[in-house]
Amino acid sequence: MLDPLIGVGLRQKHYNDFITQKPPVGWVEVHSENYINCGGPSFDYLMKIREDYPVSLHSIGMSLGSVEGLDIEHLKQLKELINIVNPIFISDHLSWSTRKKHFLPELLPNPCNDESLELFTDNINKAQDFLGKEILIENPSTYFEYNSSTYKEDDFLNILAESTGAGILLDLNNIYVSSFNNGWSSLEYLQNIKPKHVKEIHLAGYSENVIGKNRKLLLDSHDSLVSLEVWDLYRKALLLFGGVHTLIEWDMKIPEFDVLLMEAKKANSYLQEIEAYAYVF
Amino acid sequence: MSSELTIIQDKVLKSIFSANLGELDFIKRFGDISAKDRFLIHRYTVLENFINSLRITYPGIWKLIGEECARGVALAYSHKFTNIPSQSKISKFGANFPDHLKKFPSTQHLEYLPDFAKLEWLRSLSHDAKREELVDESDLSKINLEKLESYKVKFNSSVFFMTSKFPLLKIQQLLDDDGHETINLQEEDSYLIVYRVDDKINTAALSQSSWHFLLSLFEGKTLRAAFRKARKMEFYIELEEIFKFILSCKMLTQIYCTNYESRDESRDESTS
Repeated sequence: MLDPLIGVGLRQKHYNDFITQKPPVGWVEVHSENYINCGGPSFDYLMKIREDYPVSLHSIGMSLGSVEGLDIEHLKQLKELINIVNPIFISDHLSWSTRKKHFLPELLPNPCNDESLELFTDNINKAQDFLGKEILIENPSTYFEYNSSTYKEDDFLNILAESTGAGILLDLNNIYVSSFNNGWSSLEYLQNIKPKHVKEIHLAGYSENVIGKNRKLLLDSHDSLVSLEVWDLYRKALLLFGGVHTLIEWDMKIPEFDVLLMEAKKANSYLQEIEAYAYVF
Repeated sequence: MSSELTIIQDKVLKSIFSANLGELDFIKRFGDISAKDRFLIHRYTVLENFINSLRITYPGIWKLIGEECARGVALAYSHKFTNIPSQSKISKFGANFPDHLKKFPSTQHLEYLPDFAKLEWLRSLSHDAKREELVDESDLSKINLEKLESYKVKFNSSVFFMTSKFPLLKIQQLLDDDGHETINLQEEDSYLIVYRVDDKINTAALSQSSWHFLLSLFEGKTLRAAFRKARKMEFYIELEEIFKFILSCKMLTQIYCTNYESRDESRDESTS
């Protein structure tokens, strides 16, 4: 059995693995919007699997950075799902997806400045009040930065967590991808995040988008093994934050479950290594 | 709020959907990668996610017209703002795709295509329907036979009706069975009912009479009114057979007796 802190993303391809083999992971995470109708076979599978595993609901649709505010109908649907699933975490991203009532299937970043801080604070407070639960905010993967940003993203997240009471979901792959694309230090980012806010860590793989000779952007593609660089960040994150709920995410080109489990075991070994030294800190 | 953020979000939106990228003056210059190359990551992600969503909902359309053509049609569909739903209706993305196929230049000559797409859309709705308490054959014993004509039924939310002047089920069989030969796409009426049993989505072809009779019940008519309507259309209904079918296919959530007869139903009765 792995440490109860180690979980994996639950995807359709692995439903039967969970039901027949009961793999030794501590918890699972699903994308809320895939189950938000509370109907269909996928929902039925989730209901069966949650009998054996704690479930975290990870949203991609609250659009917490949207200037037009929150979609109450969507929040009502999410609340119904939350009431049924009773998740260990509810999370979404530091991003926006909705404009003029149209939903874009992408996590679009906002500038990190006072206006954006006020907007996120207002929307997160409203979402937490409506849902009656704390939500965790995930750092986005970014391919550019805004001219109008006045904060570093890590500082922005700390202030937001402080002002709303929301936790931080640190996606280490996103930190690595963003740091590469925008030329800053991923380690400094980690070191600046206040440990008390960190409730969950995501680990995933990235891919490369080669634009020209010696020119490339890293993509947060969730379609491969966790990279060595991100494992290294994970080890450092554990030293900084201690044992934290950790999730292996894999959303595209989904492998056989054994591969996912192998990644979870690797995360487990890092966690055990840190726990062995825990008392030293 | 007409703020800087609103302006930025509008620019992002415009740049994702316009043929030409709009002003990207909000992007900070860094390194030797242009603002355009950086922004295109988001544009491609949005459009690819839309196309993937359509591919999942319309697998038959993808097979019928091929990947290249299907991507083209899907891309054009995804560029139309009116086709993009709100957050709370994310699962409704693709609802207008059958109409889009009807009007799109490279597919409009394939007259059967919109109907086949509509069938695939209904199958996706059926798939996502909430699970409900179902009526089984033992519940039939509770029916008061003396009041049989006043009974109504409620179908579960995975049940959908549609008609087409094309042999849609034969097209489906052709797609499912690679060894299948050719089919004649000449007009051949289809009376279809889509429903889910456990995890499986089914499509059944009914006789015209059974389809109309069940549709009347689906619309809330009593057995008597549904019968009368069928009789007016000169249909013969095998009640026992139909009920065996809908019960074995787990389509009903309720069978109940009502004394209330709507004005329409009374009119049906009085005119028969």
